[in-house]
Amino acid sequence: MKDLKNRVGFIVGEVDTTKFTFVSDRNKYPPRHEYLIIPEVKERRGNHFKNVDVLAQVTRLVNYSEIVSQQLSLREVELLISKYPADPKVYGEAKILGYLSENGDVQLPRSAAVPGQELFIAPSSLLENFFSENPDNCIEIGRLITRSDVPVRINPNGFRRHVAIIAQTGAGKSYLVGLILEKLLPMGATVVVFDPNSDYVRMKLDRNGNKTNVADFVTIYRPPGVKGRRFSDEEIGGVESYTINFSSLELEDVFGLCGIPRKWTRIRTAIENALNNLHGFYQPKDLYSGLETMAQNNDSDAERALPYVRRIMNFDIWGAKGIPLKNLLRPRRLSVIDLAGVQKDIMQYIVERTLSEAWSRATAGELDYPLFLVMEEAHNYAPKKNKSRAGYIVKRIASEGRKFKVFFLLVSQRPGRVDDDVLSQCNSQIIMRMANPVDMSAVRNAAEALSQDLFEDLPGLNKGEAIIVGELIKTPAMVKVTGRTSAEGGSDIDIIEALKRSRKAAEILDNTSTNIEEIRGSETVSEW
Amino acid sequence: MRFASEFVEEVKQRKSELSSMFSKTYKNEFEKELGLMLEQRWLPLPHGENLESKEYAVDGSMAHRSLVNGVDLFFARALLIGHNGIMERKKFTFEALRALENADEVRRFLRLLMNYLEVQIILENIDKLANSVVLMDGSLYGRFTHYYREVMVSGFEDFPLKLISSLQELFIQCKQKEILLIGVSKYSRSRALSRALMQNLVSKLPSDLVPSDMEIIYRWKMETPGYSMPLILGDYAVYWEIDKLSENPSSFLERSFPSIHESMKVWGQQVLSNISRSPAIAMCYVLPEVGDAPLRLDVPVNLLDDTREIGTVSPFEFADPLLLEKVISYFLGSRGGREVYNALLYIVDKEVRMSARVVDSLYKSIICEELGFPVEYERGMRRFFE
Repeated sequence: MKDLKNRVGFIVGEVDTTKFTFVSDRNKYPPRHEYLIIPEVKERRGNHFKNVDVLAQVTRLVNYSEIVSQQLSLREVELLISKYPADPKVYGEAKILGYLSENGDVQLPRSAAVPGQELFIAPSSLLENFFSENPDNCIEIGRLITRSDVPVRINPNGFRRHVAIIAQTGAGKSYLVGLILEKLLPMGATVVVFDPNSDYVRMKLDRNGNKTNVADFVTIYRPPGVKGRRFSDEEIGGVESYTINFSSLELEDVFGLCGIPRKWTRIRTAIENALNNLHGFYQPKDLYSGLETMAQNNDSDAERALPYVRRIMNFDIWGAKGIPLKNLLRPRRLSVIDLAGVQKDIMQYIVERTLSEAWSRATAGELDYPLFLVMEEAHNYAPKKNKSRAGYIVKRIASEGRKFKVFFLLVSQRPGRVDDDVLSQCNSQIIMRMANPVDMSAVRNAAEALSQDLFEDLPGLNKGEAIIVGELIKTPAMVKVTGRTSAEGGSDIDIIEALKRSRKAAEILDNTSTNIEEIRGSETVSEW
Repeated sequence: MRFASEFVEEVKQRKSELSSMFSKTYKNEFEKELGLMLEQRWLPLPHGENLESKEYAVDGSMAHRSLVNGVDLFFARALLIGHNGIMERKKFTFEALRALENADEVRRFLRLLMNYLEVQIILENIDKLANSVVLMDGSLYGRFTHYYREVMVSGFEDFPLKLISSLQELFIQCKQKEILLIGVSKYSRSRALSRALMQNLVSKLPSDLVPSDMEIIYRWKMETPGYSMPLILGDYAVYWEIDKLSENPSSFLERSFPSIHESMKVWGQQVLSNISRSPAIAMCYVLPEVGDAPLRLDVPVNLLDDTREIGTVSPFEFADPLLLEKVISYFLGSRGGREVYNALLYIVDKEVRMSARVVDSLYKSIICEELGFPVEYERGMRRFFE
């Protein structure tokens, strides 16, 4: 530990159990976020003292010159540096992260280090013990930002109290979630992903189109009839159809899908009467026919109900099969429900229905294995202000899920719009780059383990860098996320390339009789 | 309690009296004549020039703490630096003394300690400083002429003589090594310029309050960058004693340094008798720009190839305006602005400064550690330094 080559300075001034100041010099100073070790801090335990090696992290670094100070004019500074080498003093501040107890837990010291104590760069082997747990049971999601040789592994037990993954668009959320799923799946996890942007539909394949090692455990579900998808069914290695059996719906579900408020009792009664006449398997068009017949018999309520039912007739979601819950709840199974292009109320319905049915199983004690629910764009399903169809069940699972082995991975780029109760139920957070003050404030309120200095670092994170706090990890870590093998669905569009294709299309349109549909059909766009 | 209203009332009542200390307006005929004299001896600034010579600067700092057991601690340090970091030398001294009764003597002793260190640090490195300009913070004349009586600190009574002796040595060594030694004061309480200007006035001073040099420059020259005609300071500060110093130093020694050890008496007499043969000091004030604070420059005249001595100039005389022109030109060339009146002096001042934190945490804890005793400041000092 005390390798003098790695000595970077000394602790000075006032020291408490959470932070300290140190002096260093221009040749040795540790960069911001570097990990330091204070060897042999005298930690008091009852009447005994024990020497512990305390880990700290540099939070601030200052080069300071009493001579070349900000009160001086340009001419004065020029003159000074021409006469004398400006040799700034270097000092820094660091926060205490803790020390490792005998059983490998990170403990915060109750004793302060002493001014004058030496400081060393923390060796990587020690950092690995702080930031990684047993590699056999834990999920490696990247490397420390400041130490690319130190793996960071999260403990799956941290999912027991739900996890929020929060970042602005383009920060690398989907990559991270995909990576976690890739690692969680071979461990036996049952995962259902609600994927509104086709971010996870390529998990069967790697970037070269080859099968990933989890491909056999992945099923992609798609509601039929959605046009203009980013990836064709073939491109993602085949899909299952995700339909809803209309004839299995409860009355309230039908009213809700048709958009008929509770107080329109007469229209509701007309629909109820029409449904009572239907038996076995039926579709919305059958309900419509029944109402038409009633309308022809001068039932004005049935006539008024027709436009509402006509609206849902056009949805392509209806099929003979209902939600494939049995498949969704299979062990070691990742089910991605691709909701891209699906109408908003249908999307809400699918999420609400799927969650409700899974929750019924869970509360009935019929869930044999842990179920992980990945909810992308969580702000749409559990919004802070407006009610959503899925809001009630999302809140319920957030507050009680852990008792019934149902765990959320809530993903959002707008945490400020996520219901506070839902967000605060997540005891671990993985936070990537953020800059929006409203969203940052929401994160600040929800993430108890997020210290002020980590909070202030959020806007400065680069793409793919994350701060992990909470039960997933022994001590908060700043991670460069790496290691995903499957292809991503949500990477950014290459505008330069897209504009090239646009110019080419414009030339064809200007000079030939080809129409835009033909051009579109001839282009191969594998990713947007 | 801020006593603001009481203060406002006091200022209002004394407005006229206070204004006269700042106002450009002449209060009486005497001031008018004095202002005219200053006008005649206020010269335009030469262009600033960068000298080819090497430059060095010296400054010191000091601190004093009284302990609860009646012991007084004295800390003094001096720093010598060269341009571009070519040299950095430090000197530090620490004294723990007891039974000091007179607070003025405590302050005097502390200043003596620091001034002595500043001179010693140059002398110890004199060979390396040959053919250079050495800047000292403070007045050379003041150092040389204001300590002609013993200091009432047991064991250090003759310490002023050590300082004077080391300064005499310094002036000689600087001449031999071709060192241009310049004393630079950021502030001066001297009235030498005022008195010199008053020599030929027709009007009489209305009271016995001779205005300070800083006051007359502030009131009448702050908008005119320039410098005062060099004044050669001879026995100005000791004119009533100069004969005794040179003709009967033993009697002076008996009277002013009664506690000097027998074995040191011959040496003491020699130091005193050498005073009148020491080089006179050329002094002027420089105002580099409108509204800036005037600086005082002191140069021993032997370094300007002038043979006048303390004993041959009584009490002072104006010199050829060109005598210090090169010094001023150099000084302006190394000036950065109002803060950085001289680059090296600015740096050495910052570097040598002894902060209360260093004294009260570092030095004090070292003493405690080494002695194995708790060291407590006396109650009054604890309020400020602990």
